[in-house]
Amino acid sequence: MKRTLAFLAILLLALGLAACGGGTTEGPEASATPQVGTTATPSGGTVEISFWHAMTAANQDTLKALTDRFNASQDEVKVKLQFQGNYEENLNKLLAARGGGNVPALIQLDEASIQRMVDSGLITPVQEFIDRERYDLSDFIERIISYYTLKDTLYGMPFNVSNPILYYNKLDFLEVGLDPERPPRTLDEVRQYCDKLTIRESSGRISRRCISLEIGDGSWYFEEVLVKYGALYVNNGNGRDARASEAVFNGPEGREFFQWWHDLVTSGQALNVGRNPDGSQHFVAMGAHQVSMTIGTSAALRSIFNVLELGQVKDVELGTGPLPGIEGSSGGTSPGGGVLWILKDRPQAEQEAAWKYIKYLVDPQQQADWYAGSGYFPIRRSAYDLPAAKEAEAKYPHLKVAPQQFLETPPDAMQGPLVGPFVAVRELIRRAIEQTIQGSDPTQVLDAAARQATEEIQEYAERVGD
Amino acid sequence: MAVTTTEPLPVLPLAGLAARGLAQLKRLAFALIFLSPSIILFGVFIFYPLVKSVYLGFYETDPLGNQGDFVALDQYRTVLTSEDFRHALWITVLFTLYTVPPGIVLGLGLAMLANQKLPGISIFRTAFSSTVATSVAVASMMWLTLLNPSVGLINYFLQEADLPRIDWLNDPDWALLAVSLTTIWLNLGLATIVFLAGLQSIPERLYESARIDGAGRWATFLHVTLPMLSPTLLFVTVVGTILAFESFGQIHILTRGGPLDATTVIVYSIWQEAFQRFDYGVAAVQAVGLFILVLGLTGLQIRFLERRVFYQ
Amino acid sequence: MVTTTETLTARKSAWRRALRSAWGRPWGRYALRYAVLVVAAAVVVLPIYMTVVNSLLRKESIIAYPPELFPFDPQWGNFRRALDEVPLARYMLNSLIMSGLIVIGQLLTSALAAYAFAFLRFPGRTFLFLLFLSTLMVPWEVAIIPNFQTIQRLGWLDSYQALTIPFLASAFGTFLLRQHFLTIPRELRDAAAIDGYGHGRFLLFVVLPLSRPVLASLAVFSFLLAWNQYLWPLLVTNEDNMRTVQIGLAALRGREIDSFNVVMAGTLIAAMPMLAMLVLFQGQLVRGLTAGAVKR
Repeated sequence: MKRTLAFLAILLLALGLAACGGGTTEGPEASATPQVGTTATPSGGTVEISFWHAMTAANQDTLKALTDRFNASQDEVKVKLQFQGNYEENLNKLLAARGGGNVPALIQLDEASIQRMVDSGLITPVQEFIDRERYDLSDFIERIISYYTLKDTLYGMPFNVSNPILYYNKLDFLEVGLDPERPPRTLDEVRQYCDKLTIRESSGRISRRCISLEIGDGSWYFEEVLVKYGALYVNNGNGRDARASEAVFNGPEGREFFQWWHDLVTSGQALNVGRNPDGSQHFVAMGAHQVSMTIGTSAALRSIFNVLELGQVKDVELGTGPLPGIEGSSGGTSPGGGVLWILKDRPQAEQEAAWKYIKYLVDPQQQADWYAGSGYFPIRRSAYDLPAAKEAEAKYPHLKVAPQQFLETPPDAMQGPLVGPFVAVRELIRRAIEQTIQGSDPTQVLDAAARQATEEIQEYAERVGD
Repeated sequence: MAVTTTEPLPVLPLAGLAARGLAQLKRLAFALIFLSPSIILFGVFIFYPLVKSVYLGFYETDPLGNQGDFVALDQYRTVLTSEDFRHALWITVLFTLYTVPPGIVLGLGLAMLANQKLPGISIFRTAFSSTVATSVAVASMMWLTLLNPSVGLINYFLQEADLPRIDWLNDPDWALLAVSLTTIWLNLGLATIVFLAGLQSIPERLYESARIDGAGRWATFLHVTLPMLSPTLLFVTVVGTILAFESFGQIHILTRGGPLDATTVIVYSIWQEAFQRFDYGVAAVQAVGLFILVLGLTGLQIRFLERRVFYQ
Repeated sequence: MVTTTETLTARKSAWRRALRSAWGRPWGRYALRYAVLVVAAAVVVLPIYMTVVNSLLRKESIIAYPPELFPFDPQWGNFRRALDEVPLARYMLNSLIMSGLIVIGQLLTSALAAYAFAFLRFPGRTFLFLLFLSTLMVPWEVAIIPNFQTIQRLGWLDSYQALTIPFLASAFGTFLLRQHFLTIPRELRDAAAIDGYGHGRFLLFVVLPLSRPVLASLAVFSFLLAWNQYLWPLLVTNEDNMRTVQIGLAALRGREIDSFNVVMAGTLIAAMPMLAMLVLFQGQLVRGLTAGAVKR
């Protein structure tokens, strides 16, 4: 009995400690059997909505700050942030929960989700709200809006747009006699730089590799490299002229990318950090001096500044450059990152609330703050001229790399691919990368991936139809 | 274990028989008051799902996750003979072999260390059983840091010892071993506790008579300790195997089944098919396959091992 | 300095001699035993120790190479941050409620069923008992898809019902209690019947009080299993206020990718209740865990 009491006492202590410590902590009193997805609370006419997001590290803090600001700015809508994991976990959670009434009002998914969500019938297109209000889109960057537009309908609202960029350590460049202000521009240049940057001891052991490569977002880098060159990923104009029926990413450009990845890892010049589910290991390797370069999303910038500003990471001076492409690329990228979907299973009032919140998030002021606090670049032209953005760019010039790379895109550049079973197809690409770094022939695995992707795409099209 | 309830039926007149039948029914009804909570729960959450899983296996699933065409046994045939399923099966078997026998040896070793009569031994007992307090998530989180390829402690030790660094979680050749290492550690506390209790239940007089007979340490271990521990060994083997077959959390946190499916055990594969790819049909078939496997394996283990178990 | 094979062998044999002579003396024997114990304990506890160290490091020190092995500048604020960043307290409360409900439910249903199997005579008793035992042969994962669909259809996602109801009955518990109930002399039942006790009152006032140690063992055992659940809570909870600590921990790790020190702090907090239980209830725990192994 005494022990039971002691145990309860410790437990209560722990909980009490937590309750005092956690300003954001929900006390035990918060509804014992919560009707989740949260319905509108009648008191005071405030509509409470759930927003499933996938933001981590500094981006999460910034999103939270923006949301707190929104919640405080008015009393009609209260947004509750719910972190579910990465984008794919978000999507899978949504697909598993559908039909049970436990979906959120708003969900953040990645750029690959578009065709799947449009086909799912789970969403209310934001176009409906735009048309009703005659909401003005002229300040939005055309190429971003058009990416999410199908058949003249904008289905989801882009919110956080990023691009893959090159990160490198200027001090390592200096050490081996490379110009620290001139990062490699093409895949071939990366190879040449790697010959210099890889450090081998006399015993033949590699003490520092050249670049860390992650497979998780590797499928995205692959898409961007193809778009940059103007090579198709799927047929029918990347699925934009008509629903795609065939994967064609195994052309010469795709093969070059795979060969590059294969060679760098198998020669020991690149450090493979695997699927990297938390999206940080390729940066950790750079911070720990295991490598001199990496490719990563621009959305990691703010989190990296935060770590570097603590001043404890020795011998790293950050450099950034555009995503290295294939020789002869015309330089257009596709808007990566996230898009917000309003779910039609929720009551009308909640959907309206979600739309209100969306409008707040894509407002130039919030987009400028978001830019400074994350590394995602603004989707509004006017946001770049706001003091918040100007100051951030002055303090952190690295922020400019991704938007410059994206905005330099020629007007006639190809738009990124639309694929129904995009999750499955990306998985095929990742597997192919895993196979090729284990020594399989890059062309063969890519061809096999393309064949399987075509099967997936056709099976999907058969079921979904038009 | 078996219960004998049947009594010889006396020859009774017809009326008596009816009365007796009625009384029996009454007894059953009364017993069911006590049994029904469990029976209802088992029915809804174990027996019905089992039948439903078999049923789901007869239907294909479309890419959006809806039930598709009735294909009778086709799906069973294709899935159960597929390369993927055989691979998952093989990984599950390997994982069991990597975790159960080493876990038993280490657990028994620690228990014997902790069974010495020394001052302060209880501190060591607590230390050895401490991993019981860590859950799957906690243990995986701990090992994730230790196994980190760039900054993890284990690679640091390897490098200091002039051995090549190992990419524990990203190298298909090592990932399963890394997950197994975590699992062995996670279950070590449990194994130690169980073996320690087993060791302590061995009467001292057996050791004494062994000593009088002039048996050495090894002979004592072989002829006294091991036979007396056999029920514990049976328990740890059966439970360990079941735990290994049902492992999920550590794989979900450490490797997500990869790289190249190197750690995709059957349960992970079921979860992936059902809740990542939403192919309920394929997942159901795999689940039924797992059921048959566990059924057969447990039966075999008990049959094979029970003969060797020595009960006091 | 070059180590030749010769010096290596020389060193080895020197070691062996030293060990042998130490073993010969009483103090040496003790010292060696303790040395083995300490080394073994160090290896077992190392991951826990490193978690403590990491939970006290600065954010940037955790990616330091070589790794820091002692927190010279302990950052106690990490624990506070772990509690601030995610509702860890809420997760622990959820785990506690879930595990508590499952324990109570299993004790109730198992005691009732075990009583029927031990004290009542009715037709089909053997069959029903075997039916109960057969549920032990069904791995939970086999039933997971239909169970998820059931919970979803009932609209129970993100609720305590979903987390607990499927686990409220236990064949293991029934078996364990029945074995114990069978050791209670039948004369007690007869005497109680003479005093006018019905089955319900007999169970409540005689059998259960006599079974307290077994009930405690079963409670500790099922608490442990419930607390450690991973796959099912992962499936049926989406909202922060319903997550259990196991899932919450994984979420904390997914979010705080740049602050592994905070994740480690959260890991320690999450392990605390179980650690407390280990220290306080070691006896019951051992009995609970070994009930199936030693007693037959």
